Amino acid sequence: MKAEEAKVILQKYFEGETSLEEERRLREFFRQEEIPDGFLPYRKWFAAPQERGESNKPDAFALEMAAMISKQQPPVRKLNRKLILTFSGIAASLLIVITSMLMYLKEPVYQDTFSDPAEAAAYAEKTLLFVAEKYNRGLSALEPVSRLKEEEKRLGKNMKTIRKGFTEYNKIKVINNLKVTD
Amino acid sequence: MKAQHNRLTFEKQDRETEIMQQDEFTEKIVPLSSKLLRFASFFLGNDEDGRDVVQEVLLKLWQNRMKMDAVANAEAYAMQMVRNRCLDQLKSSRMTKFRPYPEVMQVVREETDQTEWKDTNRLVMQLARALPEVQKSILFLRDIEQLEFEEISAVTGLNINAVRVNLSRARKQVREELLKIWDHEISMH
Repeated sequence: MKAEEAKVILQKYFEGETSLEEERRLREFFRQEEIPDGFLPYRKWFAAPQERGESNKPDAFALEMAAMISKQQPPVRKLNRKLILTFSGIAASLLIVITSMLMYLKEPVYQDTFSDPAEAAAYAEKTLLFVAEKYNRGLSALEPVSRLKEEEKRLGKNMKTIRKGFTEYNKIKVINNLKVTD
Repeated sequence: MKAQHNRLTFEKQDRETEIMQQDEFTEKIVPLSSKLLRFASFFLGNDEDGRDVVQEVLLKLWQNRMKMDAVANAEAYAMQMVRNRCLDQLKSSRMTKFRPYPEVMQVVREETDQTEWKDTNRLVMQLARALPEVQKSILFLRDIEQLEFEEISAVTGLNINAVRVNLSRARKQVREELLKIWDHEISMH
């Protein structure tokens, strides 16, 4: 870069109007062995070695921070899982306690309705008979179903014969076709 | 059965996104450590405090890594956090009595006369560090970290025009000091 151009860019620099590229070129200009007199006061500012960490050397501090973060990781997860387990355990046992208490409280209390055992037996027999009668009447309505089954069996036998006939027929058909192509 | 299946797939997805976010964190945020450290150390004037600040910021970012998706520019966000943390620290410490720039520079000049500015890097840092807070951040981000105006705007929360104005002010202030130093050196020889 010529001194004239450097002067213009330097002017822009102090106005905050240079691009990063122009600033890079300005620093390059100031790193020359010989720079014109007028630029000397600014030399130290622009010629200072760049501290920027763009070199590829392993970054000790970043590694240190990565180690710190990775140490941070497991305890958080462990704690969470432990907490979940503990709380679900507590919740489950509470549930059991509460339901068993409710069931215990709700257990129906039976009352004696008969004073004479013979009378009770007779009543029970009467009730069972009533139930049995109703049950049998219900079953009688299902009688046609067994007849249906028998008919189905007979039908199955006949179907077999028909199927046999069809296979025979197919065979004959194949033979007929062969004859035509011959 | 179906509910359980759903729950299991959700759990799996959660774990997958978590692993993804971990990877993203180690890929995007951790490599910024040194950059953040330079910023913090520059701001606070020493490496040790800078390390503490960066460590704190990284831990906070790590804890909030699930929310980082909403952040458009992770780097600018991290820088901003470092800057805010540094400002808090400076505010709370008694070290930061307000002193006008020329006065600070007087001290700097006296301190460094003996070394005859051998260490130009140190000169640059000291010239920049003595500036008012906003100018100092912007000058550092531009002339040392060489960020684009958009990035500086994201870190400082100022619009690009304000960034330019402050940068210009900071550079002119530095220019004044450089000219003084130059006169001083000429008269010494």
